[in-house]
Amino acid sequence: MKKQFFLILTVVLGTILQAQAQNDGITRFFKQYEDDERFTMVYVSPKMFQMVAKIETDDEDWNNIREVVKDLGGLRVLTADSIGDGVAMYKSALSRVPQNEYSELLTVRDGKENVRFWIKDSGNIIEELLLLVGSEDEFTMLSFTGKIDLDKISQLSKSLDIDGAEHLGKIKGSKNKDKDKNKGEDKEEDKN
Amino acid sequence: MKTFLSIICFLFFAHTLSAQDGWLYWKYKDYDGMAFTVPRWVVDAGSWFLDEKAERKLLRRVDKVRFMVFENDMNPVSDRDMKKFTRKAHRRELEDLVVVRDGKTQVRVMGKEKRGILRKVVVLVHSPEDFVFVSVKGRLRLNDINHIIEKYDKEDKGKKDKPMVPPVVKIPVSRV
Repeated sequence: MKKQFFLILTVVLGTILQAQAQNDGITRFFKQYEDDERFTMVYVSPKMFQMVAKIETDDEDWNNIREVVKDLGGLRVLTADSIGDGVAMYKSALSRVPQNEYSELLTVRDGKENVRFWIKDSGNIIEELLLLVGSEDEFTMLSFTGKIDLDKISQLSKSLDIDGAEHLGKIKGSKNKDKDKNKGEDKEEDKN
Repeated sequence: MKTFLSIICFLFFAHTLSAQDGWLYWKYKDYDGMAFTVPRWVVDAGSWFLDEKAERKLLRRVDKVRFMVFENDMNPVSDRDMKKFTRKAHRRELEDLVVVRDGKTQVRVMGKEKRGILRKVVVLVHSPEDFVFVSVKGRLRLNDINHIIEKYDKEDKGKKDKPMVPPVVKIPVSRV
């Protein structure tokens, strides 16, 4: 009986620790470089998003932003615009992303610039959006948590005055392309 | 008698606990720089000089303002004290709202909010050379703050839309 109990306990603890270790990969990366002077670090807390969402106004732009941020849990950004080893940093960050937990949403390589988006979802709800940008001189890691709507979050690319946030607009572009592609395929199927 | 003494002790410690928030101010206020506290009656008196009703309303909801600035390489606040302040503030339910660090400069905005009312806002700007500490205590409504922001935003937009030279002005031309 004792043996069985310890076996179950070990399995449960092992599962919990493994799950934590996966989550910690990205958190640890942020922690590792949050005090590094080569990087600019931005953290917007869930409380801030909650407070912004509570403000009532007639301004249409503000209401749009409110719709976006009301379900957001937090934002962390780590960015450097004149770093020598941007590609090495990008690769290092890439290795920390637990591939079994996050699914790749979009990859763009433009010249020497690499942009990658990942999402972490449970069912239909996207819980985290992770953006990684790496080029020779630049590096950006951006993480949104909460209940995320990809269409809405792409609107933030204009509102956020943070280096790397402009890449968020690419999500909508990719989604539209997918939609157009699907529509084209549907039309072809109809013709046949 | 014992009960009475216990109550006195409790009240004393409760008071010192609530005063823990301002220890950073009291520790450094006499260093070379600028440090002052604006009590509620001064804020109330100041509100009479404001034209806008919304601004007056917002200012009257402020209980106390503390301000401390050190400039030009005169920052005496140690990193250790900054960490201690943050740690204690978190314990006192002051939550981080926004933290930005760029190079050696860190900006931290902390707030205590309950049911749409901001009880306290602390803004800290810390770099090896400069230090700014602003603490506002009161019962500030988020919507009131937003009204003021919107008002100034509209004013700024209005200024930007105005042409530099009014169209009515005619440039004098002299014919030869």
